[in-house]
Amino acid sequence: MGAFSEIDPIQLAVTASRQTLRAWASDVDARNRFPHESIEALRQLGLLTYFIPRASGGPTDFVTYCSIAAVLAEECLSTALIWAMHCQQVAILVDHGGPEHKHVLDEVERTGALVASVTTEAGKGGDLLTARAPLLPEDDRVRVRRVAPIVSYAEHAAFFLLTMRSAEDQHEHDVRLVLVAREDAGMTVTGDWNAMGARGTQSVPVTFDLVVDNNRVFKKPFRQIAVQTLIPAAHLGWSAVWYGAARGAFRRFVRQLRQPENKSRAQLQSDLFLSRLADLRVSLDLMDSMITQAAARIDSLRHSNADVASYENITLNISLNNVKIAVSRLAFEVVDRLVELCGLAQGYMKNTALDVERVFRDLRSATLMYHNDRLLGVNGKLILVENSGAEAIWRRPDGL
Amino acid sequence: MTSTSDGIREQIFALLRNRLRLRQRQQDLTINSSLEALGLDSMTAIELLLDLERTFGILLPDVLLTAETFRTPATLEVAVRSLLEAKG
Repeated sequence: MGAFSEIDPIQLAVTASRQTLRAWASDVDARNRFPHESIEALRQLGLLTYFIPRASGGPTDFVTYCSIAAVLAEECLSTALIWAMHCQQVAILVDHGGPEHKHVLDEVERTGALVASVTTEAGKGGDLLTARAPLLPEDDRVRVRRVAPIVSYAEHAAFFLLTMRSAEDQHEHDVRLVLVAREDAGMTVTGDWNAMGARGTQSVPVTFDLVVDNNRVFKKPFRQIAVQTLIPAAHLGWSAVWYGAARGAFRRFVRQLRQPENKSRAQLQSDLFLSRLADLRVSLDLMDSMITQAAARIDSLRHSNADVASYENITLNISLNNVKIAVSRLAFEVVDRLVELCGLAQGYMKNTALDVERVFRDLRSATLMYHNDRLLGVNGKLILVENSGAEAIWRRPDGL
Repeated sequence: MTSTSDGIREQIFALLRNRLRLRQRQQDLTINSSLEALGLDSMTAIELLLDLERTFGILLPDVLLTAETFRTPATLEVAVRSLLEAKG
């Protein structure tokens, strides 16, 4: 694996992004396939082990995680999303896994195994914190039988972390996380992924039906894992990816503006053009600030080993949701307005040097991934009780 | 279920049944049922708080926003009654 600890991982990500992700992004999109070459490049550079603490040091903080995600997304949003989602699962294993989960981290370090998330389930309306399918005791083990409508890179992951209802007689919010390995067998991909954008993520429907040892089930309630690790890592990781994709398209556009062969160079004399260009930069800087500020706040909680209650602060949760809501809108808006500035030839056509058309399609998914309407609904309620001490009823002593 | 002449308890029960979807889940509620055991999760607790305030025309002050207030229908009833009495 790469010399991760000696070299700035952001610099490694820049290298991978410019050399490999850029080369394959169009092909991945056109052929609607998993970005094998790009993920392999990340594996070789040791980037798939981000969040695993190492004796030799090296960062495991959220600010750096977001910077890497953005750098990767500049050239290939799908690869960056896969990386960010894999890292979220690694962070869960590091933060909350027991000794029986340790071998997964060893596999990630040794072979670059990918870990995928299984939280979607038909009929529960996209609520991350609930699960319908129950864990079913079977002899001394437990049966995992579950339909998941969307599992990103399911066919390329070696391990899966699934949300399951803790038992048949328990409520939907009593959720446990369970580790499943591909080699357990019993998973069937039941459809394909032919989407407008983010095509490389290959987010397919999967049915799981298998029996695993009881120790595969995480001891802590899922809500605690989600509040402390998954929700911050998911909101900030995805947001960083969307921001990075918009920033990448913007930078490619800016770079070619002053080229002598740019036929539209005359527009640099236009105050209106320059003002529109500057406006895009305002949006990019807004996204950057929101992400970095929230990531730094999570880092300070992590560095001080803050308890779960600190992560349940209502203001913190509103602001994390707002990062996702704002960035998912702004990133798409930036690329939409970039299409306007680029015009038909550069903005609307496929496979130009700017790749604006692909990024436009990729970023259309941002508001839909954990739908903004759901987050706005949650925030609407949280705002009404913010600063009233309502954490006491929002927070549960048992972590549910 | 014991009925109360002013119907406050019945109204609290109705709100809880609705929020906790007890009918669909064919579960019943008694005055001392643990709301947590009946599935009162974090977001539902906030929704229930807003339900109570709207139904009874009250504002639950910060000091009552505790896990104890939201422990059972009985503890909720005590809180609601104290606020209604203070209101006069």
